[in-house]
Amino acid sequence: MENRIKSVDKMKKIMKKYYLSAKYAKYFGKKIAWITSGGPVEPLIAMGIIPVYPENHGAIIGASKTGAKLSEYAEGLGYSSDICSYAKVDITSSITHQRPIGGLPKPDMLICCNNICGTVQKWYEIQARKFNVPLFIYDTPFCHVDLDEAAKKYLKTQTKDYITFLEQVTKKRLDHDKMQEVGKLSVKAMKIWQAVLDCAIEKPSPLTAFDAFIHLALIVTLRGKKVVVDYYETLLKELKERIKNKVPAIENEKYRLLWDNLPIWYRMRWLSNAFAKHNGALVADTYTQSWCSVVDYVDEDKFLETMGEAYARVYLNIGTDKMAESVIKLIDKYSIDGVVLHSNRSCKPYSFGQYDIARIIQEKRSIPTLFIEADMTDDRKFSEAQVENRINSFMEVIAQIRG
Amino acid sequence: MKKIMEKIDFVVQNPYEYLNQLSKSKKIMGYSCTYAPIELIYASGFHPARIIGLSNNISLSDIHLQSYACAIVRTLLEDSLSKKLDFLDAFLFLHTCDSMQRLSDIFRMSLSFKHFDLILPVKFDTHSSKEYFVDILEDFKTKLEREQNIKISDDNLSESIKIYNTLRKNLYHLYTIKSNSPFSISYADLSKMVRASFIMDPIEFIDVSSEIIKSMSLEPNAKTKRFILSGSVCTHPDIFTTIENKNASIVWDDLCSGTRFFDQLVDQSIKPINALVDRFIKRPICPAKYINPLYRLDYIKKIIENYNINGVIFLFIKFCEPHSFDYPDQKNLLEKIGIPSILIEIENQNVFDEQTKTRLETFIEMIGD
Amino acid sequence: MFIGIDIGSTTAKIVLMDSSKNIIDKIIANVGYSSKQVATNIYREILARNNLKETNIKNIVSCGYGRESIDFAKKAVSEIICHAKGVHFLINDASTIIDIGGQDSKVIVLNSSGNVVNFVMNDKCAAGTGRFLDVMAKALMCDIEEFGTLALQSKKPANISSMCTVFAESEVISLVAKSEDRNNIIAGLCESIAKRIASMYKRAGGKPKVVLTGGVAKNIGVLKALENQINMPILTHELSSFTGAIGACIISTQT
Repeated sequence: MENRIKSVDKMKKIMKKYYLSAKYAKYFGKKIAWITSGGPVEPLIAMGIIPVYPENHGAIIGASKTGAKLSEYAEGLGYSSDICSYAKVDITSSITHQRPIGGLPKPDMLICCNNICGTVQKWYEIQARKFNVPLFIYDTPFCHVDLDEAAKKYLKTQTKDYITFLEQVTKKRLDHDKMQEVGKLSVKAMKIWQAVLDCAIEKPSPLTAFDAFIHLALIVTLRGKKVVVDYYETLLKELKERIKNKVPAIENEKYRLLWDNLPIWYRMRWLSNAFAKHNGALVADTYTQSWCSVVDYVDEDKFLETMGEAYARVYLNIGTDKMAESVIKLIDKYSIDGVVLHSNRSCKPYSFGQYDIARIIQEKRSIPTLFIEADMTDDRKFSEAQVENRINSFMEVIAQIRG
Repeated sequence: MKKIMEKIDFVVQNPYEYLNQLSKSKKIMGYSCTYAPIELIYASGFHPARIIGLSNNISLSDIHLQSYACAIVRTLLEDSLSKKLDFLDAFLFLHTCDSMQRLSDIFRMSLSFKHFDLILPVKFDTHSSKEYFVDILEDFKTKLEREQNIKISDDNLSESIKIYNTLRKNLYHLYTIKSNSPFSISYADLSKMVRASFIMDPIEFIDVSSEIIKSMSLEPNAKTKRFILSGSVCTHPDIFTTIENKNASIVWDDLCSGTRFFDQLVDQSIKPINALVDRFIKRPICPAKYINPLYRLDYIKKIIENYNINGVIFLFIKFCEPHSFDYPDQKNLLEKIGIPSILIEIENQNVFDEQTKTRLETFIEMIGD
Repeated sequence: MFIGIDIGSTTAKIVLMDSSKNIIDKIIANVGYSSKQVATNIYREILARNNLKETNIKNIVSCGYGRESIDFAKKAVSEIICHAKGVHFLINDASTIIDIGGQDSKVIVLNSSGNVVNFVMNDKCAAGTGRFLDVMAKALMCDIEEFGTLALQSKKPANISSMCTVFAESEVISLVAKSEDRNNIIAGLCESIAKRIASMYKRAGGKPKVVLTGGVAKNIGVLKALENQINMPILTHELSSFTGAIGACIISTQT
């Protein structure tokens, strides 16, 4: 049984307003930038450019269960069935402008940060050709073990290049005071988001990973705006009330689980129930943590100068052994009994390395791991019977270990 | 020529045996792709060898990687885990695509080679990325010096550059002969030459290839359909013989195991490290790198025009994202300019199956005269 | 009396035990179209054979694919837990179970008390199940029963590289067309399946003693190939087809 979080209605209103402002941007004399989910959005906010996220659109398409259809269309154009489904559904909807939201408003510029993967570079090249607009690539060197001085220098220079690019496209100068303000709000939002996720430390947890996936939208898309800080403060308050009144997200939470990789957008409720049936609650996940875990690397008084390094150190841009260390920390922090790893065919940086991470979890914490093979947006890659069978087995193993 | 090719044949069929033998007198550094600064590696006293996995049956790799990784990655991992690469002293990973990036972690975590990562920039179009490129090569040079306990002077590096420029010139010469007079050498032999150059001691390769060039007789031009192959690694000789047996010739390519390796020379008149960077930026780009959104389209158009091409055969390894993403716009461009093309995906570069054969033959027959 | 019933994808198994956990009787039958029908049939049969009425049965536990549809079972438990219990009952120092079933394959790691600590199941697109061998036996026009012995006669197993059952079948047909020795092809197929399983074994952290269960356990070609791949002796038990039902039965005596 689930207890619904009430603040989500408020968030939906905020997101709707944001989508409308993007749709009618031209009428307000605003420019639109398409940006990757891990991209440095704060300068856009500071310059009044409206950020639009094709990946967020991909999540909505996934959740509306139209991912397969839109992927098939792209495959008809010659795109391989094996490439990222977010890219395919975006390429399709740029052409067909179909449901669920009639496609995204046209970009005036494209901002591509490859800290999440290399695929975005190819995807944004396609859109740059299609829309014939300027493309900026914010290249975050991969951090296998650490970032060296050359990489740090490169990031600092690129931040300058980025601002120059934005000023050229908008024909406006960046207001550095506004940038300061936005930077501080971004850091504040990340800290509150961490506090929201930390509510899951409570037993029973007042929220599940699925709640976190839904509430992720604001910190991803509008980080740096005051409305994001205000909303998460509201959410945090509601969660703290739930903790006080002992209102759990999952009624009979007995076993606490960690989710790894992107959500399976088209089966969130189904998955939540499949685990809840066995008194299992997915209390935390590695994905939503990514939007607050690098907050210590950024100096809120010198946001622009230090943001490069923070962006280069996100969860997907670090070595597999470092990811495993992070997972062990989450297992300890949230008192985890078992880890569910979504082997996501669309996301190689997230999925390759999971086998070694599972091995390390076994070695260091002796808790069972479950692999669910699927795709975040394309439901053709999901076998319900197979997944259900595995979840049942996994939960019984945990029950037998934990008692 | 057949006799001289014997040496090349041996190396291509037994690369690990050749390298094992060489490892007795010189330390070998394996590398993952053609963006490796081989001149720098050579100048440090290591022998640089490009390792392309030879396994046609993959199972050990499944311990670390899901099946939706490409065969380039999986066969390299397979050969390492099967202890076939124990002659290597070190391995260098170049940052290119997501799969290679994660393979580097697997190597670093689970295998015992001395591990080096060169985190190349992804974009090549800005001053900042060029500066970064120079910085990381300087850092790599320092690491090599430390590892080998030597100093690499600009002169050492220049010497090394001269050698590899000659190696590249020879390959370019052979390809030019092929393009001008397709029956003078089979593409299968050309491919062997490139693969041998990945493995052999460069001076030995220069000697052998120079002899081959000298001994070649130019065949008179007869009518033939002129094709290019486009993809990453394409090495199976049966692919080439299937195509060239049908009154068609592969007269150029856009392959990682082909022209992308040797096209463009290093400028010997400027500071060596900067010259290396310039060459990497100048040479035909791998789709995992960026110069501008139209580059890959302009490039294929250019080689079609320069080499008088009648058709394009895209040969991709299954699960290769960088190449797959470029394909639809490339296909549309080719349709617009009236050049027929076909896309064939293969599961493993070391396996040639009936389906591939049928598709190739059908395409060539369809082109007509 | 207690009953354990295991409804797999191809066969259904039932075991009858007394309260001292002695196995009194067992039946195995093909599932055919309706798992529910077969379950009811073998239940009735085992009662009849042992002069028992439904009221004599204190508890019934089901496992396997069709377990939820067995309405006369009092409880349904996952086959992973049941196999573990069953194997531990038959071979009590077993640490790793390799189960190659019709539709899927799994590696289960146990602790010394016979409890499951980890398990790995086959990935999609991996030719590592009984179905793979059935398809191939058909393509080679041979009985799956003789597959094992024929494999052992080969001195040079053929190389089958495809991960996918459908493409592997094409490879086999190609080899047949090239007049490759049939025993070599069969041995190659056994090796192929063994390699898939071996990597699952390594991922799961398998260790001795290793026990093979499931329909494929009887295939000596696969058994030998597997021993070769993991470099360890593999045990089987004459009751290996029944480990799921035995485990379910043991659980029924405990609750």
